[in-house]
Amino acid sequence: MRNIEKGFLLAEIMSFDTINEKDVKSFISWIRSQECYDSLLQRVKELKTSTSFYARYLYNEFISIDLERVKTIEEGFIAYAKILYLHQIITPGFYINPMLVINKQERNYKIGEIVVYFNNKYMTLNELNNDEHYSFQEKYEFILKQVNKWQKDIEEKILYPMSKLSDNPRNLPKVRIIPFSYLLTLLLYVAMIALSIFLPLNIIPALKDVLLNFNISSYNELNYFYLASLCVGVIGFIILIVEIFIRRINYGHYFKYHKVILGGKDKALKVINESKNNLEQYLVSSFDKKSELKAKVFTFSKCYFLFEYIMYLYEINYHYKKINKDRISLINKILFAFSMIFFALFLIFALVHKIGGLL
Amino acid sequence: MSFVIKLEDKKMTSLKELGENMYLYPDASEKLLTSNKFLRFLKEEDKDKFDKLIKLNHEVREHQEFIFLAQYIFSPIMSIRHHGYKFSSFKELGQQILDFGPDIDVYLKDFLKYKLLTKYMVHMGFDKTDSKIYNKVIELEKLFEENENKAYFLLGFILAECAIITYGNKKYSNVNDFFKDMVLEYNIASYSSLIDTNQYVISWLTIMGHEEEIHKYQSLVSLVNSLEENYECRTKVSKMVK
Repeated sequence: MRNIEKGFLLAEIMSFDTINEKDVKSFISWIRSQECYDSLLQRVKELKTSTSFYARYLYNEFISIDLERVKTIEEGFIAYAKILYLHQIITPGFYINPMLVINKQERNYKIGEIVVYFNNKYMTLNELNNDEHYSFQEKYEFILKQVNKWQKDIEEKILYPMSKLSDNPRNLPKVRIIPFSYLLTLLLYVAMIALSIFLPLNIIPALKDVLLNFNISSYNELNYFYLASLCVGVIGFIILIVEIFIRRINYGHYFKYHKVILGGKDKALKVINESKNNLEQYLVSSFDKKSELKAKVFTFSKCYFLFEYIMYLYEINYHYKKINKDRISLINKILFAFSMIFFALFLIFALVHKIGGLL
Repeated sequence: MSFVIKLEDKKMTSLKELGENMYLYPDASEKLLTSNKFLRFLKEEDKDKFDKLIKLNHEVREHQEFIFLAQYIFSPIMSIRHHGYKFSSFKELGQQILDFGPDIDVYLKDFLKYKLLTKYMVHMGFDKTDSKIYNKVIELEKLFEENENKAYFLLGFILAECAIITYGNKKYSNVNDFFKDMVLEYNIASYSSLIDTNQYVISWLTIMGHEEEIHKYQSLVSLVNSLEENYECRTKVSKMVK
């Protein structure tokens, strides 16, 4: 902290109208230039990827610091103090929930490195374990409370959404990899292409030339429409197959996740309780033996996949209206429309020529 | 018996005169008072003063304190005198402290550091006749243990019975006017560097009755300072670990 800001602060507290906007802005620029601020922004980027309740709380604390809105030196001091404080506590050790570790970077954290708030002090679980000032009984009671907190966090993130989704399954769209309309389109394409090959061979022999000799100058309207419908049809068919393949990649998990989430609340509860019991046992036995807590947090995150499934289903739900309106789907619809129009015109002209005795 | 006592270039013919002038020659006085020749002379000349001096020498470790108290053995009724300074009243002492402000005179600080002022007051009976000021000085001596500079400047303001601060050759009796000038470009850096370490401004604001605002300021600054220290400590540790 520069002395000059201390001088401004005292002047402002004693005599409010002595400070001008320029001084406040200069202070804010100084704060933004500090290494701690830059480092905090990096930590917040990582924080955003975490799912724990404390991470959410810390993120809200961070966004409440609005340097643009600082109008006085005193507010600047408070904001700067908050930045320094958050920098101290926004580390994964503070906000990880070992029973729900989604973020890959957090997975290798050790249980002993998790920071807890015990007896008005922040300390890691290893430090608490080694602290001789507290009895085993006090630590044991604290561990039970802490694990319960983590479990409540999971219930909020997993069991509650599972209940909500199960109670109203209609809230989840029915996403099929090959909807009925696509199946129909495929059949029509196959029929059209088959007819386009059958007709020149058996009914309109004159069209054989069109397929074998690409002499465009000699084509009539019948030939153009025939070739156009065949080409557009083949391209459309291929692109439709590609779209189905893409849908398979994007939504292939949908049914599996849908089934697990909507029907699996009891199983989920079992997995959560198992994780909780394992974690409790591990902590209690390590505290009892005073052994270092070396196990990785991910060991106790047995239900993380449920959270991932829920997020996937929410994402699908959110994008549902767009699913059938994305670019490739639109292209397919356009190609199908054109191929059908060209084929219809081809058939009309073929009929006209047949009646006219030209074929 | 006639005698001549010499302190540097000053010659004195009585112990009273010695007491009255010791403050002008502190180093020479200490040499004199601890010399065997003088002590032998004093034992013969005035046994009572000799006993008092010996007792003082055993009780007091600090040279400044010894000379200050010793001068009153030789000249008991005398104004406040210390290390070249002579004050006929407490107000004069207070005003001298303020006149130097924001600079601090280490010899004037001795009045609180070695409790010379209260010892003088007890010696002269002012602890009973002027108990209000005496009690205030006692409080300031306690404060001196936590915050030397604040106690020093508060002593100046209290003894001078003055609530005017002098800064940059200008006197201020109004808080608004003072700070309006302090935030100007040519003052802000020097004034800001004074606040916490020097305590001159803080003391003046205390005298003006702004303890609440001072507490608010100090709480915020102390909070930020401790967070910054913590940050630096963690940064050092993480660099070492890397």
